[in-house]
Amino acid sequence: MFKIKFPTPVLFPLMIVISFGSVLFFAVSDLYAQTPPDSELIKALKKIVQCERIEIKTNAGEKRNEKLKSMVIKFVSVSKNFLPADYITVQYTNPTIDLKALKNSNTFNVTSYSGFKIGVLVSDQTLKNEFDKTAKKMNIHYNKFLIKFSPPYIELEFDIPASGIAPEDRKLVEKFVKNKKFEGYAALRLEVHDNKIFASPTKVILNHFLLPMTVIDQIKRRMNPLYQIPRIQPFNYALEKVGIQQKYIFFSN
Amino acid sequence: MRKHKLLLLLLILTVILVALIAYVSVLYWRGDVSNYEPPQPPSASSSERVQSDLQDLSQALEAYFIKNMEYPHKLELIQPEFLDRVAADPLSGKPYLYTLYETEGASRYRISVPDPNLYNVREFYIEGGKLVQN
Repeated sequence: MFKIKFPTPVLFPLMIVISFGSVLFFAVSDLYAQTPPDSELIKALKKIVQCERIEIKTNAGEKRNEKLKSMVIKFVSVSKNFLPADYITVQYTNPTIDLKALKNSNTFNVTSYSGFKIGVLVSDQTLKNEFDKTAKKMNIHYNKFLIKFSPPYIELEFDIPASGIAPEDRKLVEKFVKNKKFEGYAALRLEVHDNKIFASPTKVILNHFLLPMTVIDQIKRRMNPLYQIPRIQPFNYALEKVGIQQKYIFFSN
Repeated sequence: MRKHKLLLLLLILTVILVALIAYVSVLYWRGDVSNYEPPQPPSASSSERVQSDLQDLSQALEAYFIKNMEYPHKLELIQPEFLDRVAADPLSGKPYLYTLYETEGASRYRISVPDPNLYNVREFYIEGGKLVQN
């Protein structure tokens, strides 16, 4: 005859621990199925965007197992692969994250979403640092280069050697060169279309001469587009709006 | 007759030369350091000012969101970092109305004119970057 054997006193607590553990495991994995931990996302995002810090804010709704309602990702001090920026913030509404790719290959991919927003802030200091870096790379030594944001304009005051400007561009303003240098002022506005930044000078003073509009128009044609913002995958964006604020240049889609 | 023609040519040349010198002088005079300032904006009507205020406020709110990952609970929090001064409605002098709400789990806002009837419209606001005036 078979007898029903009750677990021994040693096995009983072990079974409780195992069953509790499995319940907890399934609960956590179920929760992970909808909202992956921020650390996993940050690890995957770090492979895409090189920056100082990444922050994530998710709104997962009140009920367990509920899909993500929104996700905001902020990249701080972005230097490479994109526009040098102080902050880049991406917002998804109702996103579905490819969890398989995240778990298996640590890849960030959003398979579907109902809304997407991207915003970029660039400060005058970041812009100045970028100019310094480029000047150093091109071995250009300048006496003065000041950037000031006066909405809706960017004001520049400069004193740079004439050799710092490409020969074909220099031809346009050759008659204004004095002591082999360009000293003056410029007020310009920015436009952005499909990730391309266009500068629109409205006033340029070169070596004490206010440049006529015909010359400014020629400069405008030559210098544009000023910058092509790279498209970082998987963020599929087209920046179309730009604004000059007190401390930042603002870009958004 | 020939002398007259020569005189006329000389006169035309002198006029061209004077105009050229005057033009260059104006460019030189206007290129002074004291003129290192951006062009002045053209004067605008009250309605145009409201449109510009609402667009500036909306852009400043978006910039606040980019830095803080949320919209401010008060409009005043955008100054001075994103906007030097939060303007008031030019006709009534009252502050613009700021409403923060949530749809589909994402925060949204609306900035409206306190008395739209002063502009002969029923609604005058900006929402999601879109200006509505009807």
